[in-house]
Amino acid sequence: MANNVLIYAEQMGGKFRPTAFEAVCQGKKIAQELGGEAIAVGIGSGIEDPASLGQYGADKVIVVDNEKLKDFTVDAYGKAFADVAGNNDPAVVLMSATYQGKDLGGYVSAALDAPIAADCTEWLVQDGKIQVKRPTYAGKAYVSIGFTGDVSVISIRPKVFALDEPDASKSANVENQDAAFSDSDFRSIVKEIIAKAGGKIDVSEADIIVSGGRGMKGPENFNILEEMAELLGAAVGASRTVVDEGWREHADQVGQTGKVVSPKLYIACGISGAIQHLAGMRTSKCIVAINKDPDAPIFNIADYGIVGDLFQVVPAMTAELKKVLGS
Amino acid sequence: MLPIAGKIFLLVLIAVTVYFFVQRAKYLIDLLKLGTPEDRSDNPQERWKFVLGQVLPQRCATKNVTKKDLAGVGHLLLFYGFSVYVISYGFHIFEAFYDKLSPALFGSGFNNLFFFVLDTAGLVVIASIIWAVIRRYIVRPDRLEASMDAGVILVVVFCLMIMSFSVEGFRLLAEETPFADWAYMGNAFSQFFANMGLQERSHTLFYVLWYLHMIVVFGFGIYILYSKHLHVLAAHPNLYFHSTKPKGSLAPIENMEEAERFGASDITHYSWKHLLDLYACTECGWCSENCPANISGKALKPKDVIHNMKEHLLATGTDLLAKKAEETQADEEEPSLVRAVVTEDEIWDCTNCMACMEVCPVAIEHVNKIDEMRRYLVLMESNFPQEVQVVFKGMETNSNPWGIGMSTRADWAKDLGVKTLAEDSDVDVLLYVGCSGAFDDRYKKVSVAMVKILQAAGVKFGILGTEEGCCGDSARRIGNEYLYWMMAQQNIEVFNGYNVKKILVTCPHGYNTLKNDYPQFGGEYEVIHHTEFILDLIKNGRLKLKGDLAKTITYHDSCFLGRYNTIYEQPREILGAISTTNLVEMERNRRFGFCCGAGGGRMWMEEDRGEKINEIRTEEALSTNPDMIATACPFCMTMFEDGLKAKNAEEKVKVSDIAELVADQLI
Repeated sequence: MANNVLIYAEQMGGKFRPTAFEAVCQGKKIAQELGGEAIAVGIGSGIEDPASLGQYGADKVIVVDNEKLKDFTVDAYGKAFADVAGNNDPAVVLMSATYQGKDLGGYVSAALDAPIAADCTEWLVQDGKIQVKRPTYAGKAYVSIGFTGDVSVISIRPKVFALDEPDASKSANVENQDAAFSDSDFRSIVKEIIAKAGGKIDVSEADIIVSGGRGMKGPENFNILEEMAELLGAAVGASRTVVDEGWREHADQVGQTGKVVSPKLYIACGISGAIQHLAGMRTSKCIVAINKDPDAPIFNIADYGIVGDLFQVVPAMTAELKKVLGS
Repeated sequence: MLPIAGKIFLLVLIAVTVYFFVQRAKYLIDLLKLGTPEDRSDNPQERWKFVLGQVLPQRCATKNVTKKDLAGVGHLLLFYGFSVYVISYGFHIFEAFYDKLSPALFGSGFNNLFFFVLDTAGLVVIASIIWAVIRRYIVRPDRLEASMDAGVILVVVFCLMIMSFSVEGFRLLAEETPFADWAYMGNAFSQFFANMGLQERSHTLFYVLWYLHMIVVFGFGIYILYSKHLHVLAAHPNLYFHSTKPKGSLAPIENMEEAERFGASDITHYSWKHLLDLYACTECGWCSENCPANISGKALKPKDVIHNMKEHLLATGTDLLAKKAEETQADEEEPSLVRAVVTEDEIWDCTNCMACMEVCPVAIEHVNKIDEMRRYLVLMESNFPQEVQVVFKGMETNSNPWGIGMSTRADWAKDLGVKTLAEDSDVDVLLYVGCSGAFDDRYKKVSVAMVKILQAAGVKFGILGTEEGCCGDSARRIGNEYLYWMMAQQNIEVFNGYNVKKILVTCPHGYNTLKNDYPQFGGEYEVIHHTEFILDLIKNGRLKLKGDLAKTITYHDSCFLGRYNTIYEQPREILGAISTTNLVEMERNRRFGFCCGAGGGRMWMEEDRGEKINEIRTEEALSTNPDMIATACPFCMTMFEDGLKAKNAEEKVKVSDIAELVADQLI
């Protein structure tokens, strides 16, 4: 039945990652249009609650659980995934274009002798065949791609497709698949994983950033931003002036010579918006600016601007957030 | 005339000296030949004029004289004084062989005058030496080293003078008739010797000292080739072969498409002229003293770069010559110059401000050497400060360093009633605003001001809008010559496509590169900076100005406008035309202007060592107690605005561009 969608559901430490849910969600939609099933594949060791993938639309979940698969290596994971694909005859193989997804995609495409389009931002099904769109030339243009052959391998760009609300009433059938591995299947072995220091969210990975500039007046005042950030699950960023003064670390610097970020929400407090800073956060999906200078250039690009004293505005916002989000 | 034995001794001395001199000179010249070829044979007339004009009136030394540092005057005295002595040595030697060839030959009047002048020259030299010793070993300015080399030279020259007077003194005692009447120092010494009771042995002592004197003179002649005094011989050819290209322009890479090597990583990658620079260095330290990187405590000290390169060349010279003889190719080895002799910090610290080259007495080209090493790091090793990656990408994809969408490049001009060349290419001048003028909110105001001025004067102009591309200056100065070349070619194609003849540029970096670099790629236009243009409009009465600006203003000279293109007075004249008050000048102004810190691509780099250059300059500006700082460059403006914020002075003092000030004054 070559109209199934096989979805790689990435997990880390036994837990599925948010990108896995995104992939399952889209996989289900594609499967519906193709008239087939959405089959999720979880590969790892000690995978928790595979049936929960059904809440995002998986019709079936195939689990390859083996102690040797605790850490991702493309040879072993690729072999396991390719075996599953071989047995389930999919029309589309889908994964999220994370590091793992990019690594795996190439392996699977070669193993199945199937064409691959990576990092796609749109898809559609036309005449029973999948087509995708992906950016090219550093985002200056988009390319529409169709596929020949029976199987198409696709990876979708993370965070581009909206995630539907999980339906708690649904649950998927889980099938366990054995996999035999010999040591020669592992050309590389993960010896150690070094976790990033500190529990702070990295500015470049955060969905929401609360950022402070010279208007903060001093390092001790950043606690009001940190309070807001904790409520929002956000990272705290800084403009270059603030880092130069030694109030914040260089790792937090957003701008031309710091990190270039593109979060869903960027709250700029006491930042004037000189071009060097804008260069680092211009592409944020939503920009909120708080500044007492009505002529500050940041208001030219902000979606929401508050002209006021940040030492009054920020605590007021935090108080409202507490009510809405619950502390 | 000497006795036979003496003549033979002198001949042998000369022969030996010539032998060692020629041997060393040949070695030094062979090392120059290790460099790549470079044609500097153009304009011989201008070159002669230049070298003579620098050396004879000692402009090379006096150009840097300030109230604080009069050393140039000392050098002038020393140079003239010692030159007289060199002439006298000639007479000495000939006189040793032929009695007839002496100053007396030309009559007693000449003879007396000759020795009067000689003795005076000797005193002048002694005075200069004493002054020099006090400066170098007691006052100890940073730019001078109390080195062994310097010490030897000072001591030897001093001794030569004393010996010369002593020879005169003994000769006067030994001979019946004085050889000259006005050799007053000789007289003084002869008195002194007579009082010491040396009259009887004066004849012997005369000859002993004479030979000793000659030995020291010839020895010194050879020593010159082994010391920093090499400048005495190398400075003249180096001045002759100075660059006749526009000041500070960088050489393009020949045959970029086929070239296998870019930039310089080894000393032999430089041309013979760059190597000659190393010989010509007098170690005066003026370059380091004026370098903003050095002043702000960074690693870069231009004198050290030159000196270390020279030492490296001399130390590895024999090996390099051997390798050349065997024609062994050194492939893929670790660079022998980059990192090993000149560190990456030194290479990246440079703001390309050219203060070093401006004050160098012997026309050494420091900036070009550093930029060649940058080309190596960028194009061969892909090794550059990480934050520059964003800039290159932005330029490649969107033709501006911030990577802002190129389709928005004309947004600054909408609603101004300005036409693009695409709409109407029949204009007298193209207004090129550059990336800052198009994308930086602060500098867009300057572009708008310029449009107002042009419209008020009724100038027929147009812009390129979205067809305008980044001038590429930052890419070139950082060393990414390939990217620069691509951008320059693109712009030239567009300019030529519209048959552009005259370009008005509102940024000194764009101005400099369009004017002085684009011709290297076939782009020849009349390029004018907005301060030149505005002054012309004012002088021709095409602008009605209120002329009532009553603020205390200090004007900051942009390096790329000032030192690079000698535009110092035009902005000041404009300010004079619109102000009721006089300008207050910073101490370091015009050709001594202190860089804002953003040149050489450093606008885009982090400054994490030493003091911040822009804060140093801002402090200097604030010390003049101005209401306002006037600039004519987007980089300088950004640096001052940041600097004022850092000094918490941004409420008290404003930064304005010349164009903005004029636009505000339009009636």
